[in-house]
Amino acid sequence: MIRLSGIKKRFGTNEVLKGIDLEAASGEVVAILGPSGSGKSTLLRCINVLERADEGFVQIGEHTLDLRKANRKEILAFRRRTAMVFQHYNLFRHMTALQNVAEALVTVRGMSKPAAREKSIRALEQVGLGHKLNEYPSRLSGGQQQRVGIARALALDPEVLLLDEPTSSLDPELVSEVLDTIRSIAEQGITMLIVTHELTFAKEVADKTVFMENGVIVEEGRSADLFDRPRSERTRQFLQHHSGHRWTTSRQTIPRQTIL
Amino acid sequence: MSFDLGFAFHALLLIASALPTTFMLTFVSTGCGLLIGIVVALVRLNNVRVVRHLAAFYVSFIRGTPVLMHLFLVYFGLPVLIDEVCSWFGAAGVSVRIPLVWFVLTAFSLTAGAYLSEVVRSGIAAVDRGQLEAAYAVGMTTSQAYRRIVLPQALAASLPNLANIVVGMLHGSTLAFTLTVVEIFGKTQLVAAQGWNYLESFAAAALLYWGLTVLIENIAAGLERRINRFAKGGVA
Repeated sequence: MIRLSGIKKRFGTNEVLKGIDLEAASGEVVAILGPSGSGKSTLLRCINVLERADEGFVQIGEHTLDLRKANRKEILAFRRRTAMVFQHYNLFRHMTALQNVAEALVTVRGMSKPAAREKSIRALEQVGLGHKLNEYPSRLSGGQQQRVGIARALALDPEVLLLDEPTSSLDPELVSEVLDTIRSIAEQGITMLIVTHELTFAKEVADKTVFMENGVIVEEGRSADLFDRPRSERTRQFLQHHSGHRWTTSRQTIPRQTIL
Repeated sequence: MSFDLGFAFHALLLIASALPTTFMLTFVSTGCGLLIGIVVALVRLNNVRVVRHLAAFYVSFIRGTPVLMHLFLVYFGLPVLIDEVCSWFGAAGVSVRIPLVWFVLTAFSLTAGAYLSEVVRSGIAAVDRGQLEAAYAVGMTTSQAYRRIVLPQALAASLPNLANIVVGMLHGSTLAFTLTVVEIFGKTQLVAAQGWNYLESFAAAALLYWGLTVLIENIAAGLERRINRFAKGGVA
């Protein structure tokens, strides 16, 4: 279970989040939609404090984090309840697929190396990469890299999985393999918040869908209701404009890769 | 004038006895310098309050003055400082009991540290920020993220520049003889002075430095291939 309340964030004079309240029950999948610049990625990044919110609370299970006051130790403890999948994968490039997944299990969770290895292999098999354990990211396709990213997050057994536009930097033909992977983990009952531009996917996989614009939640509801009977005119326009074709403008940012 | 090839060979063997000192000066100072460089680079990249001004001053000053100056400033300045501090605790004459070579190593480490901080800084900048965020997202502390994720890649990226600094320090170590530390260059002068065979001796020494430089370059190239095997298949 995760509950966000009153999350506010401004960059300079630009108020990106104007007080966000959102809740996902245990095992629920929530899709966050909205035009570019609506603050959805910032919201996700405020949850695990990659971005420091100005105000607000995040509750996961029994634990609540005051985003304004949290100190380093509290943030660290809280981050360990979550895991994140990034738009640009952000794999550790000097490590193989297996090492990418095992790294945090050993350094953060203190697992023994053999145990971490075994768990990592299972996670990679789960995303269909059991045959790529010892490949470096540079030898994997975008879709495969993102599946390693998903395995890395899954292996941590997070209480909440945060996915930040997981398919936005993929070539169109690779999107479906990643979406299939996400769908299969959603079915296992992991609480997920997913920022996405894949409307069809959101409609099918998410229990609840949220439409954000200009730093506020315009509308939220059961996915079926929101997609079929949007109450707000803005939601209706957004869905109409983006349904049927893939949203591609979010691919304008090219990942800055390690140059070696 | 004649060139006594036989003496040159003889000199080479004599001079080679100073190899350990030159190695020690080169690698201890680059090693300590690397530690200083990493700390300074992290301080500057993370904009640590107050200390960052100190770090900026240190880098600017060292890079703005000749190595020989660092050597003399440390040699004449550090003993004064040490004796002053020790006198607060009632100890006297401490500095004269410190072996000379320690001052040389201190000076060279400070030199290498300033240059290496820039090398490390550019290496860290070559690691994309997303990986640092991913490290935080999986729950690493800042120090874990740097030790496990950022620095290994930063150092791999800096390897060619690092090798240049090692070569620079190898050549710079000749200055230690101005403070009477007998490394290769010093030994050469001693060997040459015995029979006035200056040309033969210095030719032999030059050959030795050249050989060492080529060796360092080859080791660095080999290491680079090994360390960067993860990047094969392009940078994408």
